[in-house]
Amino acid sequence: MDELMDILMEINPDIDYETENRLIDGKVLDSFSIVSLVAEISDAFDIEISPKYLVPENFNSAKAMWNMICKIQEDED
Amino acid sequence: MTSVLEYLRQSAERFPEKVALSDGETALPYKSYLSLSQKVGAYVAQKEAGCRAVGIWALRSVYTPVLFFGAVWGGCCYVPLDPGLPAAKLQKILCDCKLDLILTPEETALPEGVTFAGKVVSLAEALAESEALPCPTVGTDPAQPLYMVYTSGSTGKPKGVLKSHRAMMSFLEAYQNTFSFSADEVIGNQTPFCFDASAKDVYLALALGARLEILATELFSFPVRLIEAMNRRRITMISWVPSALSIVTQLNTFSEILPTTLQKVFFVGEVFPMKQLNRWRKALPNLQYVNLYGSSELAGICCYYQVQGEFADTDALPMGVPLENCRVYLIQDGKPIAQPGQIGELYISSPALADCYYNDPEKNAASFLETEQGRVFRTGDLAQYTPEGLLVFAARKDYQIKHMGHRIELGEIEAAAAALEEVANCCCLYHREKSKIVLFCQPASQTVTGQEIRRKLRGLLSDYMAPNQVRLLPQLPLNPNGKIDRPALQQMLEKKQTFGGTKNG
Repeated sequence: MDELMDILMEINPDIDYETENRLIDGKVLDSFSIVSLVAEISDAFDIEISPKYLVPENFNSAKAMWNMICKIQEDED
Repeated sequence: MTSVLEYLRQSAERFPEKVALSDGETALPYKSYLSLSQKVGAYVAQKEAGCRAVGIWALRSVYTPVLFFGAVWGGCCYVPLDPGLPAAKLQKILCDCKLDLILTPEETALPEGVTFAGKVVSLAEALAESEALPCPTVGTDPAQPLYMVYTSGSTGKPKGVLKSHRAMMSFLEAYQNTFSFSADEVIGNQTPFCFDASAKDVYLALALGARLEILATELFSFPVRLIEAMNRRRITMISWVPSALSIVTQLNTFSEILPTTLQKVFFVGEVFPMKQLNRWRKALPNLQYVNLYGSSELAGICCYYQVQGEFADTDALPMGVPLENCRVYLIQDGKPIAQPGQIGELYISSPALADCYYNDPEKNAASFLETEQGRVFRTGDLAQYTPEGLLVFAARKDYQIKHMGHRIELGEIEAAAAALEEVANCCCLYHREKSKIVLFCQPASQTVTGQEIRRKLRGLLSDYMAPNQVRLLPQLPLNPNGKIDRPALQQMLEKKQTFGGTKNG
């Protein structure tokens, strides 16, 4: 989770990721942030995020992203 | 033809009931496009003396183009205003073009901190007041200003580029003669209305009597949804910035869904990374791919290249050949070059050239030259010919960059940063490979952090201009002349050396 937080802070340090749960719906993250985010997460966690995971619900909060990462890691095992 | 309004009138006559503009929720038929813009025009004509500039709050709404042409029916030219601009920058623009009327698609208050002595009028208010007014007529002078778009300026002073009806009509004629567009085209718009690139979409749709589908910005975050929407809305043609096209392939969208109605993929605004273009072509080999090269100082585009044959990921994509209304010259040391492989600066002559930079005689004299070949625009882009006679982009002559489809003067970012009390000295560079704007700063005190500087800059610059990274250095490297050593910093950037400095933010 710390690693994910580092990635998120690098993208935009002004957001309180602990509490923010409308990153997408609230237009906090834009499309270019999503692309960087997906690339960084894939790298950091050595996973492949297939397009079917790319839905707003999976990116609205740090928690949701973390759940998605765990889910993909389980599926890959 | 004397005015672009003729296109609107003709298309409304041919296809009164056909949808002209749609944003997925609201659909506006051509007859309403015409009648609403005429009513706004009647209002504008009553409020404004002719040939004035009218600001348009350029939301992603079907009513934004309606307001553009409302201003034009009113005998004025329009200035699209970016609703996302920070107050300080908007203020500079408002002062530069001395607006006294801003039209908005819906009721809007200007951002806090902006002083504006003129009136902000919503579409609904303008319509209510225009009830009893006579219908305006089409202008008769093609040299009349049509619109002015603001682009990034190196001194921090906004740079308004003014274009005439004649320039736009010249482009549209050449564009339609070159490509086989039809009235059945459905154009999927990605570029915001406050950027010049969007004029191609708006005017092509208008001239063809085609439908313009405005795609919500949020769709580009989740490209599976984007392609679903494009299929549902039966989009046949797109003319996007490469960054938007790249998002689709970078996120492997085509492994999940393919476009079903798309036929033409045009790209403009920056160099499309060959790797991503190859991925598009591999997934969708039967589409038409065209690389467009243009400049804000010219209506539409100047060169095009129909992508043909195989390219390796490392190959350069040609800019191709000039559109039929343009002539280009490559100039080196004051002389034209014709030898393949020699690099020269690209000059353009065309009836589609902009009239001028508004209110900036110095910049006009430097960029728009009167020559034996007529009026010529100096692009600042370096290019060369291939042995086949195709133009290929080489580099920018100065420090202007293309980032996410936006033209940015690194000097403007530096000017904003240098003005902060936290910053003693700074230099802004672009990491092309990673598409990142990096600001090197020598902080004014030990307690300053990169995050702090970044946060402050976000309030001063457009989002797309805010540095992606701020790196603090105890001292910026200087060259023997005592100037900041940009090449040394660029090397540091690309080699990730920090020279004892810390990476921050």
